[in-house]
Amino acid sequence: MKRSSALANLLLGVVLVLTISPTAAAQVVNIEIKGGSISSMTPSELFVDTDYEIKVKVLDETGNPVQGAKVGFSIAGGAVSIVGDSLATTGSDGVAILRIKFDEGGVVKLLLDESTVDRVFIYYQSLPSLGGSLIGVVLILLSGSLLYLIYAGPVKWYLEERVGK
Amino acid sequence: MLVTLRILGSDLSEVKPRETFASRFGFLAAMLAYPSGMGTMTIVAFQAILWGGGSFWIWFFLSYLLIAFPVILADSAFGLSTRRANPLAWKKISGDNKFFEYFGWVVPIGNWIWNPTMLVIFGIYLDYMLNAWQGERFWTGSPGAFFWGEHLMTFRPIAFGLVVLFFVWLVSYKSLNIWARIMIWLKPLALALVGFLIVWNILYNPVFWQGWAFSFNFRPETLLFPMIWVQAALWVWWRCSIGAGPATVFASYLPRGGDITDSVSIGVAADMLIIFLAGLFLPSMLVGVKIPPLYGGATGLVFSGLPRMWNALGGTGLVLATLFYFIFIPAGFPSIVVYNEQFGACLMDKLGWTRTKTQTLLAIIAGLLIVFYGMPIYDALNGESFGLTLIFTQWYWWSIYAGICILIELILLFKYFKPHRVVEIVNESSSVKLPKAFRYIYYVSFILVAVMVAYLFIATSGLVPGVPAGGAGTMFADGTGYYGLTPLGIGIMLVQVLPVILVPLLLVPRK
Repeated sequence: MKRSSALANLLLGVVLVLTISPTAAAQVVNIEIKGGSISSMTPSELFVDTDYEIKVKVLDETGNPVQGAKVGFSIAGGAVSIVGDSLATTGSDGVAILRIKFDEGGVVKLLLDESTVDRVFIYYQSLPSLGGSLIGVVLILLSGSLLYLIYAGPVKWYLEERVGK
Repeated sequence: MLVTLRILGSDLSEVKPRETFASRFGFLAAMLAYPSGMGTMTIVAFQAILWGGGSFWIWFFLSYLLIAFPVILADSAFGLSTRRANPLAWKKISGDNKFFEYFGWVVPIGNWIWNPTMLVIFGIYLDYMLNAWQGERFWTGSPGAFFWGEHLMTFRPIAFGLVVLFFVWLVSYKSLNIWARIMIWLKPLALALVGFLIVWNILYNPVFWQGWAFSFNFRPETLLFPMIWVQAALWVWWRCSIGAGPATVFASYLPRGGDITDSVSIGVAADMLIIFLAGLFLPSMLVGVKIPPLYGGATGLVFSGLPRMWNALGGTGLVLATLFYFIFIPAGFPSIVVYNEQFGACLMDKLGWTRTKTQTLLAIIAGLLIVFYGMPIYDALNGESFGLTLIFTQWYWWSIYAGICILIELILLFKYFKPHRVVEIVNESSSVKLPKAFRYIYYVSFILVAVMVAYLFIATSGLVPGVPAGGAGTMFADGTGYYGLTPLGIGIMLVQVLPVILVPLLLVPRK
């Protein structure tokens, strides 16, 4: 097969895959803030690498929708970074919609008019492979070195002292 | 006054025969006891969460291997070759250079003044350990408010700090070998207890691995961020207090045939292991009960964050809390004994005092400082006790100092002692031999520390793009330390800055 026709086939394949692949639907999260604190959140946990459509409904203490409130997320700690809308304003129904994705785990602050409402975990789907490998390598190296050093030192000293006696 | 100065300035080191460890296990005990500490053990995993995860850990371990390990070996070689504690060792090595003799005093005094701050904190550990069975009835449902606002406003930190001080005096006042016999068992005990907590965490916390992911997640590109290097290295410098460190004193106590390289290696490896293992259970346990693992300081974590977790765990939490606060005895207590021994040895060398007299005098001064640091006076500016603010500022200044201390020690090494002699001396008395090329590590250490210290000062000044002034980290530039001539500022000058500068001037003869 000529190189040009192989490239053409590859290009065609890519186009077909892009055409027939369905766009992954964002997962909807409903958060209700009543009187300045979270009264409900469904689902209750957020994960990394997931496209979210977060609908935040802001109610006053008597349960009436609050229009024009600024809702958003900011990073509280960890490696997490926010991809997408980090700020939105509520409409007449008191709802603001944030289309968002978190690329690493950590903790984010849910903000209402720049005040922190609560801190929300962004969980990992599974233990990241590089992090898990690091733990394994460090554990093996440290415990292995320590065992060897104890054998080469105190164990031999003790045996020498016993033989000496 | 002049007579006093003359007496203090004279060198009575030849008057008394030097104490030695009963066997080479004594030096091993000292190396297991040093480095140690509770705060630096518990908080590192949380610092990793704030500063780069896996990259932080990699730089943390590299700092141990490329900076702490070689410098502790150099400290040991100084002590073994001179048979003196730091000031007189540095004096002898530098050919009576006054600057190095002065600096040989500065670090042991600084280390020792740090001790009463830890005695107050360990007093609080002891208090919490004894009362953990009461749980919420002791630290209430709002442990943070209780600790900062109520507990520190009582005389309990002073009372319990004095109790811990009594035990430090008890193991130190009579013989070097009493504390050595105790210390050798403590690090293994601490490792066993931490290991138990990890196993419990894995068995009973279904999301234990989330905490591991938070602290250890590794993104290779962050290895190149200088702020991560600095933040990781600082904890190693602070924990090991290298740069005129106590290893000089302990090596000076070595009997013939003692083993330096193996003991130092075991001490460093065991210390890295215990910090790493602490990182495998503390953040995980907090995540398990949905408490964000975001803590910049160990005191807030241990007395505010963890009690919230013990409360959430119910009855099991009370057992685990008792066990956790107990760990300060094998994991933290040795550090106080070590720094107490270091300064005591310097005084005994210089002034020819007996061990009992030296240790008793030091205990009395430490007791007064405990009262000072533990006093229940509210500091509205920081929302805690006045004494605790002083404790934090003490740690702040000392951690800045650590990097400078290392540079000065390495200059002493390069100019007078020479790196190849370190290798020769430690190899003469060690079963594990270092290669000759090991001497080049000292140049790597110097470059790393110089770059890190320079970067830290530049970043703190706000000269690094993207890093705001005062944004150089939780240990630095968080506002701590800048109080001017307020009561706090005067307190800091009186107990933390002036003694470290002035006392060595009394002890180093001018002619």
